[in-house]
Amino acid sequence: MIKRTQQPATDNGLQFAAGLFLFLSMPISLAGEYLLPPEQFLAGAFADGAPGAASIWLAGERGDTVSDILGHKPPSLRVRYWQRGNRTAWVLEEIGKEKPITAGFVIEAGKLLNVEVLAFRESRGWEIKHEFFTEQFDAVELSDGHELSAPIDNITGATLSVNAMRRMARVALFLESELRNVAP
Amino acid sequence: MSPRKRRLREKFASLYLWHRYAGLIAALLAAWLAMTGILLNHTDDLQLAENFVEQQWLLDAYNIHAPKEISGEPIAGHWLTQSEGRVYLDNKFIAQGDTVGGALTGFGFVVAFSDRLQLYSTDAVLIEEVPFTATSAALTDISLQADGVLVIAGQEQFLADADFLTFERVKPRARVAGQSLQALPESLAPVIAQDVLHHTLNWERVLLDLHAGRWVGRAGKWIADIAGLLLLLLAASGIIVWVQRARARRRHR
Repeated sequence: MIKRTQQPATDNGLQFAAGLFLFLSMPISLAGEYLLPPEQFLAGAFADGAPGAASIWLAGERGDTVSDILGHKPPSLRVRYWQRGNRTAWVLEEIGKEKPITAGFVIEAGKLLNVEVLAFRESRGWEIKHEFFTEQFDAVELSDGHELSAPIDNITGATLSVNAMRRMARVALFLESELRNVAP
Repeated sequence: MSPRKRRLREKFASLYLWHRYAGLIAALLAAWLAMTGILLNHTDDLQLAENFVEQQWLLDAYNIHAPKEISGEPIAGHWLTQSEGRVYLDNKFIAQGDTVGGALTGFGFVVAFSDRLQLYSTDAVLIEEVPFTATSAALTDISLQADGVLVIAGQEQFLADADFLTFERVKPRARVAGQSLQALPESLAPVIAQDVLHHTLNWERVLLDLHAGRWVGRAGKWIADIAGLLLLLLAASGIIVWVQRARARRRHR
């Protein structure tokens, strides 16, 4: 005979706490647009506040490379960036499953310094906003074939969001390398 | 009671018989609900919301017609037009939304919306979408001045640099009045009218209406309800008949 035992109160309490944690960690963007406004991200990326914006055009071979990385034509012909010295910051958007993810990338001398999810608009896959995911990009650079130099682990149930972040990181690193190549 | 009446009474007391009759009536309705329901369950895969009805008879059934009068803003020999929430540069659809105006720039056009600007090349390819965050007020107008493009947000005015990378707050100036809306040329108006017409009703809407029975007017709602109730009756009577028969089989063993 199977003896039923009552679940200990501590287990019930843990389950409630876990559910509450998951609920509270859901993206704030369900209520508002940004988890982290771009202006705040840029202010944090540079020691003395964000410099003025500049832009890089996705024309010719550069546009073709970005198309290859993204797997589709880039949504616009020009990308904005902010630069001081050899540090640049980029705010990019890419569709995860159906809605765009906005992410910020800080790059110095060809290596990612910081990656942040600025806005997440899907109902699933929001785990990518957490540090345990974004810190995987630290010190990552571009290798042959415009791939990332280190693997970025997938998150079960957030594959499309993870892939979008990988693609944006590759684009940001590629465009930063383009700036270094044309710098006098 | 006559034998005939007794037989009729016994017949209609049979739940199995009601189950059969309800099934016959509900079969067609159930098939209809099932087919439309399965299609609606795959709205994303079939891209039903992104595919629009172009068949005139169906548009007529919904009383949807092409806009009769469309006016646009002339910009240096081109036209910025808005109709039914769709924005066009000449005959090319560029964006969904309500534009507050456009202007010529060094690399093409700028089209202003309440919260953003969109920069386009001369052949209407999107160069960049620029969120306008210089103020919390909504953009209300845009105007080409001698020293650049002026964007107006409420009581404030901002002058964009040539690349639209920065916006400088300027003293409110008596701005040059933007071009007023004018009737589109005869070569352009029907093209835009047709495009607007063919992007009004999507297949998801049609299927939802078919599924809910809205196609036969008010009666359709009740027919759908009756179909639902019949299906419930079938489910309940089917279970009861099954239990009755199972018991009968056990008794006869």
